[in-house]
Amino acid sequence: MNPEEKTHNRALNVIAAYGAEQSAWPEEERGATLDALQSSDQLTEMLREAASLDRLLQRSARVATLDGAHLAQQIAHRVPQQLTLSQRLSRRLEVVAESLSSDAWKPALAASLTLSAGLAVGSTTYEPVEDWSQAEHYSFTVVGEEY
Amino acid sequence: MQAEEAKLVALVRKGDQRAYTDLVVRHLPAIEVYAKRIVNDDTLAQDIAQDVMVVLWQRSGDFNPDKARLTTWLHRIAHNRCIDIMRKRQREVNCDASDSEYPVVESETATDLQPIDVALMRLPESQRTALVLTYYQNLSNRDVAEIMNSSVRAVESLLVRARGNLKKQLETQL
Repeated sequence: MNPEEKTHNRALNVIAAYGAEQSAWPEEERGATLDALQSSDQLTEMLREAASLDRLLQRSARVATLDGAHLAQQIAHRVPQQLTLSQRLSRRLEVVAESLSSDAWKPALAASLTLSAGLAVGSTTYEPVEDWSQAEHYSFTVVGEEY
Repeated sequence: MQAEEAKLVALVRKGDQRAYTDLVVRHLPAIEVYAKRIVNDDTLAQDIAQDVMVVLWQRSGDFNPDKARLTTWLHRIAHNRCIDIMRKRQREVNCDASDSEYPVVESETATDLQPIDVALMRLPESQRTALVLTYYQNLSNRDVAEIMNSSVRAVESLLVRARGNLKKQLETQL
């Protein structure tokens, strides 16, 4: 088969599969199909037949009736998202990163620093005033008195 | 468009309802009409379209913008749902038919169907799917092959047979 016959046959196939609308033809084959059409009565006749079928296909009466915005709201409110462990982790990390990039963390950090400093100072300087060295002796005394 | 939709899907993954609504408004009509043309039952088709949108909300993390366009991914989910439903329906029809001496009539819920819609419904499922995805949904042959889990060559062959079948059915109107 010579290249011209090959192109002609391919053009036949393209029209038979995709119809008469050039925009429906595979992009990379549009040029070659149009060239083949110019030199072939058979292809022109085939294109005419394909165009009448296309016109019938356009008469289809199917229409969409669902309200997209309403449906989206319903789904988003009622259906929980299913995330994998890694997606959940990355979502948590993003939330932490976002909160760090905003100023909301500053009062919380100030409060926790103050508390930590208070605890640190308290634990190093505090000395108990009670003398517990006699505690054991004292407790035996109390128990002995009971029996 | 593709990059913008990938960004919207990334927002949906984070639970952004506005991005989700935007995507549903864009894609729901095409998915609903596609399902209507495939299953020929308006209520079932709406259920399928809603299911597809639930998947978009729940499992948007499964969508990989590097591998496919969003419309292709959504059509693939719709296609699989349609196939499941039609196979289930076929099993029920076979069961009923074995109990009855009368042939079971194809169900057509819409009464105002055009002859082309009736002719489309008479096509074998794979031919109808290939034609509807290519002609009505404006998807490329590669996208259609991906949705149908097939090759471009096989899709083309289905298209040639589908158009040939339609021509025979609608001969008087051509």
